[in-house]
Amino acid sequence: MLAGPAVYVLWLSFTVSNFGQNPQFVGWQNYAAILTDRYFWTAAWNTFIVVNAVVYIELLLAVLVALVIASLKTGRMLMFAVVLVPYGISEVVGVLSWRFLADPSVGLITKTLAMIGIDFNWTLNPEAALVLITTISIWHHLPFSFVIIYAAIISVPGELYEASRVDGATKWQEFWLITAPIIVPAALLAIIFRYVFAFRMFSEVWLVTQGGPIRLTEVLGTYLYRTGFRYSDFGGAAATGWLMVLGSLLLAAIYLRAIYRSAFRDA
Amino acid sequence: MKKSIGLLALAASLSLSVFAVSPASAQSINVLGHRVHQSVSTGESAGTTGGDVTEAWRSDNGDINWITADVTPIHDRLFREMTLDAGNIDLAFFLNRFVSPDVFELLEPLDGYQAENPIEGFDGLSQGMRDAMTYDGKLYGIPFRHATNALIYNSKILADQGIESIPETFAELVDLAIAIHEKNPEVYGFANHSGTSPTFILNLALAHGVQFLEPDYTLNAETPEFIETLETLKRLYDNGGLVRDYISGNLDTIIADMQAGRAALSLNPFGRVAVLNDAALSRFPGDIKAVAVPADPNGVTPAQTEVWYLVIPKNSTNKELAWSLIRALSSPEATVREALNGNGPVRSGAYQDPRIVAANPAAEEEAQSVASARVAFPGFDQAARAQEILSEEADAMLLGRQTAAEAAANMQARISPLLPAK
Repeated sequence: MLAGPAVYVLWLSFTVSNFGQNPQFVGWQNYAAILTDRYFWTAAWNTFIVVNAVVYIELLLAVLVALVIASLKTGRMLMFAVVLVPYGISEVVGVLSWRFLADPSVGLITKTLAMIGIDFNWTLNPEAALVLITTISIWHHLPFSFVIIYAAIISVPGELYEASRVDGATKWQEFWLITAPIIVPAALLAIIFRYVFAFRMFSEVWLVTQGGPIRLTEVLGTYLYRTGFRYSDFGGAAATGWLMVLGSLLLAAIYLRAIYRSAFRDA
Repeated sequence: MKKSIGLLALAASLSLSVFAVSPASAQSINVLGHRVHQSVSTGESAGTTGGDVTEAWRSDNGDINWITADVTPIHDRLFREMTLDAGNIDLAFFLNRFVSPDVFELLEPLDGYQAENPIEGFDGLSQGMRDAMTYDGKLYGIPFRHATNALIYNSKILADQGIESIPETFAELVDLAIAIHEKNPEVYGFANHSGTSPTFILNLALAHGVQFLEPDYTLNAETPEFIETLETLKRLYDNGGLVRDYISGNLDTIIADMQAGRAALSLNPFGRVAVLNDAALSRFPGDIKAVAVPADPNGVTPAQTEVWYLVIPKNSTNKELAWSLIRALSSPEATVREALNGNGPVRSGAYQDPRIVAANPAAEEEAQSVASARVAFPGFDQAARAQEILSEEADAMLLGRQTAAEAAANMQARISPLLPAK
């Protein structure tokens, strides 16, 4: 079931076709066109920046929130539920709500920032737009990383902390020498999944900027969509898809190797 | 375990029950178009008087399931549906700039339907518009709506600023747009937008005496007239003659800007005036008016138009019903009633109808504009990509990343390879 469409798309990536035109084999032409397209490299660079920002800021926040909630004596489940709320909201609704809040003319966020002298017109400033997109993505996907990290944190045996306190360890030493090593495999797992998810980021960008202004906030997901469904260039879109698959596999391979080495370091 | 299985069974039966009640009534038709097409057909916009043109058809034939979206998504969905063995779209509204030889292969020729069960007053439908949808001797679309640009202006804002009359030339209009913002920084000149349909630049080019892309696919990006067009665009943008959200805006923001009085002018279709004067939404009901776009340097009205057609996908499973709805929407009376609902009538005779004359003070000017209007962008396979390139390069100039001459050169270099061979 997985291989069929993948092979079909691979074949499509070596053809030229659009609506009403049957595919014609063109060899590596689509790949050559994409790899020489400046907008592809803009999209690839933006994807690299945004994905890394999203993954690591989100991971950091997930660890902080998980530590705080795990340390609560009461109201732990309530806070757990509160953190999960963004995941329960439709992605489209969430993104559009953010867009409204950050509207350059009437948005609450924009107006608040303007009061402290910050001009946050993301419709004209690509960097500001990428910050907004990153923020939205972190907000929406934080629960995913949080759940994985939280599960790892609460699995740490309490005796380890008790023993460390007897030995006079500080809170920071407890975290760095006990919690962190134990949650590293879970964190790596969260990183892999979030890399793969973030790598195909689409709705945050499409619903906020559609890749603009002047395609400077485009990511690979929107580049693929634009090529396939705005320009009806199915061969180009298929080739972009395969380049994204290869990129994802490369990233995943690096982290899977790290997990493998950490898991079997002492074996 | 039993409890879990019971819950699963309950969930499954609920899911099935949802599908069981979902299907529409026994006889219905799926129509894909823009929200505007629905509102001019059904008369649901406030302040319009044409009523529901589809009412009689629905009582005789069944429901119309309207599927509405923005311009590009309509065609995206339609093209995807049309490549299936059996599509879900029975009838669609289709914009002239998406026409290409490949697309005709996916549409149903309509000559046979017309011969068997003709549209009333068929010859009254614009011949030029019909010709644009005729390929290889076959007719593939029935014109439904023209969107011919007018100069739309807020008469109250202009009067408050002591401006009594509309400029007679386009050059004066550009100066006026900037002057409006100079007098009141809260108000901008034009409310228009860039994006996937750069009609403002195209109209601006016509006003400078050049068509960006001619019907024979001659590209005029690097002509002095078009470079001057880009310089005018930049001057407008830098001096408040254009709204600040020109680059990121869309039709909704244009309407909101005009209704709220954040902008005083717009180059938009004549039919847009009805919604801009909607008393429920506009701060200026009745104050927003339309006239022909002021003349270009040669004294010609630089009117630009686009035409929407009714088409039947070749893979539609409801072709007879679709044709019957086309007939109902295309009769002379339907054309007048749709025009009263804000549609651009595709029959020139509609402009002489007393109801149109009474309801639309600009009817005569609109008729003249339609007569001299030029299609904004001829259709071809890569038209969507070419229009985006036009917007991208112009926007890059507005953001100060290149000069007008550089933008024009980039447009010429990037669009030329996409054009069909002459």
